[in-house]
Amino acid sequence: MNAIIAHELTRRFDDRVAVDHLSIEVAPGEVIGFLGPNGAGKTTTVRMLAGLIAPTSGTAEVAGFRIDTQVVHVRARVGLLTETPGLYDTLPAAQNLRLFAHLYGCDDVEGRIRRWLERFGLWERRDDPPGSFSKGMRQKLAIARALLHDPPVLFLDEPTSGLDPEAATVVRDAIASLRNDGRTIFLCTHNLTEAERLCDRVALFKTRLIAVDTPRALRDQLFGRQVAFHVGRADDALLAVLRAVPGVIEVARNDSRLVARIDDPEATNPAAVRALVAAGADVRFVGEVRHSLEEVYHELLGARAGTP
Amino acid sequence: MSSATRVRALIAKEWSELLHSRLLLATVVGVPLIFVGVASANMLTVAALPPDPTGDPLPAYMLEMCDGLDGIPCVQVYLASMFHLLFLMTPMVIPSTIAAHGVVGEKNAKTLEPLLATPITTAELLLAKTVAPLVPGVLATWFGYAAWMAIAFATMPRPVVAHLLTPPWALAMVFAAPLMAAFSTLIGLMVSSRSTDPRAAQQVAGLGVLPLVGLIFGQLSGLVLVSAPLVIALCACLLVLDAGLWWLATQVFEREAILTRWK
Ligand SMILES: Nc1ncnc2c1ncn2[C@@H]1O[C@H](COP(=O)(O)OP(=O)(O)OP(=O)(O)O)[C@@H](O)[C@H]1O
Ligand SMILES: [Mg+2]
Repeated sequence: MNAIIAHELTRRFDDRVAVDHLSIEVAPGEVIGFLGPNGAGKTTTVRMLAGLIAPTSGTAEVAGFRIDTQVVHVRARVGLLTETPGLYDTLPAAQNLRLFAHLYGCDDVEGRIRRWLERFGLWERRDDPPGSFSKGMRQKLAIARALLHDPPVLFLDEPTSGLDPEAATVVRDAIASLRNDGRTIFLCTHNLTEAERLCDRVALFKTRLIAVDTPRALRDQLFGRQVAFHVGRADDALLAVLRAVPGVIEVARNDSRLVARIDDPEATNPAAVRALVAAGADVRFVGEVRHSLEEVYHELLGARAGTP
Repeated sequence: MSSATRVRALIAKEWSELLHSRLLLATVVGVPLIFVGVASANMLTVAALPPDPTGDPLPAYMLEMCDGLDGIPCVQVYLASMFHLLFLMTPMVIPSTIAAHGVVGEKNAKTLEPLLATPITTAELLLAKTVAPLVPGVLATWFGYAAWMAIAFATMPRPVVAHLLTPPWALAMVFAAPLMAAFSTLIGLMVSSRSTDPRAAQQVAGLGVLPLVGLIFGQLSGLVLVSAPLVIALCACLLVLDAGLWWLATQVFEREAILTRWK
């Protein structure tokens, strides 16, 4: 059974639609990136799925329980990193965690606190108030707090926004270290590199779900797979030769390169190379053209918004 | 079992935060301290007056209150009853101040959302947020009152002392004070959950003190005489009011509205 199943989830604020008929399924253990510009409705989605606010219409099941009729069970089984860490700044780090361990009804409270603080390198600072922490440390403490009760589903709402690159790397590494725990992670972000590095699949979202797939499949879907043949001198004759190879869909000439759209490069490339060589080309090397997720994002959302 | 754990954990958190807040600590310690100081200073000043400073007879309502005493000792008994009422304001002032910070403070620090994301029920949350300010408020009241009594016993003539710790006042301190504390806490909480400014919440919650001020003026002017039946009736009213306020608080406190309506 899937860890998150949303069906036509919709949320309005007065007459503004924040989330519009979102349907998505996330498998257990999957890390899914929820990518969208400011105001896309990411936080609203997370709040609905974590059982904090009710949808206007539609339903969802999270960790096996319905968010409308079984919301207390949902809350007990999800961890939530809110947009702002929301720590008690005057209370020692360990006490911040202790409160939540008790609220979630955990056993072995002190053991859990120690385990998570050690894992995120905060154990030495357990008696210090988070008010004295750096932003990256605060964020890690907040993530530790969300994980104390070992929730099968973890929601992270923009865990690295507002952090300097160094702190962001620290937090990203902490998240990467969670990947192998078998936990489902729902990661809201508008940082594309982050999504690409951490996520199995990426959902592009702007009020509505625009696309959801692996970063690679999204790229392929949009741009097709492209192969560049570096041939020294790319002329119209070589272009015609390449275009005639079965499996090659389209070819463009680009200085010393011929760039071909090929559905199945693994099957088509050998024939293409043979044809080019037979036509007298000096094939120097062959490589796949990689598009960044950023290009996909801008292509699909049609706006240069929200990239830090 | 786990419900009690959650409430206890949240109360422990509230008290730790209280100990870290200078403003709230100053309120808890300062208010009874000021009342003790004012009451003692007044009583001692009156005691130092010449036996018959004005030569006029005392008004009838004072004499009625003193039954048997006259002159300066009667004035002392009369003033003492005023200060009893002043001490009864402690459980109104302290808990409402703490409670007003209770929800608004968390809202502003953005700590409320992680809290609401836990399996804690609204009733558990409200219970913790009610008990946490109530206990220091009542304790501060009792400590202040005990300190004042100790000073009075040590410095006042015996006939005056005999009139200080009477059954109505003992009843009021033991039963009415906690009920009043609950009343002001719940008002403070409700205002707090519907407001974004702790000071505004505190001020509105402070209005809950008004009925008590009415009682003080009633007694000052001789209209009301605090008696055991009056105190018992007051306690009964407070009990009903508290129960009603608790019900109202559980209705007013909507988790979702608190997160979405006041960002
Ligand atoms: N409490 C609210 N009341 C009214 N409108 C709201 C509320 N919360 C969100 N909205 C609106 O819903 C839309 C989605 O907001 P949301 O905060 O979910 O976006 P987001 O994707 O998290 O944005 P960001 O990247 O800035 O965090 C926005 O248009 C926002 O103005
Ligand atoms: Mg957001």
